[in-house]
Amino acid sequence: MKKGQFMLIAVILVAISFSIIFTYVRSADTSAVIFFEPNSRDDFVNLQNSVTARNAWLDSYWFDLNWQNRSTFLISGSGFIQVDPQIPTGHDCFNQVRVADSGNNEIPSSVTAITAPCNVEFGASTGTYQIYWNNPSATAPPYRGIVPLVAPTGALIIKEGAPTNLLCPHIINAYKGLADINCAVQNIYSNNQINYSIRFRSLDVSFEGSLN
Amino acid sequence: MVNKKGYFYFIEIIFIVILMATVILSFPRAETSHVRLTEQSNLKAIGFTTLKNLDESGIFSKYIDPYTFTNSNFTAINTYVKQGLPSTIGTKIQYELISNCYSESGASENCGLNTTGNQDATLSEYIFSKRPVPVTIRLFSWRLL
Repeated sequence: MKKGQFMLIAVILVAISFSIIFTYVRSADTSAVIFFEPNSRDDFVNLQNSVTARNAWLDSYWFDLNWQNRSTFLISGSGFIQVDPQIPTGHDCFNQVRVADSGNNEIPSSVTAITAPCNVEFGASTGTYQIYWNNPSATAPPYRGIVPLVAPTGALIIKEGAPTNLLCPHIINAYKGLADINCAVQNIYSNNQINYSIRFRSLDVSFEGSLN
Repeated sequence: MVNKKGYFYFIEIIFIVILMATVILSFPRAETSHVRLTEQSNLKAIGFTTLKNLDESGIFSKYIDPYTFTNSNFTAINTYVKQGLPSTIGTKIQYELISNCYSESGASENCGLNTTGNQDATLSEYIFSKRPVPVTIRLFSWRLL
């Protein structure tokens, strides 16, 4: 074997060894195999999906996001009944109360007082009904009247706030370690759809804009 | 027959190969080898797809309680997740509601994975947003074989 051939083989062996080392060993902080770093594209798809899915769900879940609170009741029997939605004292009942059935259809209703505490009266049959309240821009509907107070019926299932601002803190918490992330509610448009202002910057995804 | 000079060159090459093999094999085995990363990337994608499919087929909506998370049917969710993955993949599910983490049985636990025995685990995350307070479903998965 000639010396030149030996040198050639030695160089090839060195090249192979370097290649193996660079694809096999990772230093403490900096990857020597940066090309193979796990990507965050699925995470961004997940973020987009969570926004889209939530908007689709919100349309059926909430009557109108301008109403900040609701109290859900389970009614047994039929006829005109009164329920106590437990609206905090002093809130406007006359203008800022609506009743919806489980399909988010508005039902005519009356109240027992202009301001809370007040009961809400409406014609019901067995099922779930929701009393929406606390919408400062609302005015009294044409059917609204004041009726005498009677003993309330129906079981209060839950009193809750509009789920408008609950997704962004969750997104930020989920991805704060993975990407430069920011999320805020930009605006609410028709059918309870929310525009989110999103910033997501990671090693392989860079996005800044609105999602809905 | 190899002459004497060529014979020594041949011996030198053998020595170099042995030396390099010794040096290379003495490096600590790193998780981030090309093969390992590809495998983990695949696991992550499989986990994400599984969780997304379960959401789109209505499983999470059906079994995750919209109001009281701990009232969810965790057994049913575990069954669906594990049946959606090959038996050669080990899994652990964790749920997070903004800094509060729950195990796959619904018990409160520390966020993250105790890596003992699961050093190669990869993480797939899915945000289930069809309830007032969203839930992040974390699926840790690793190859069993």
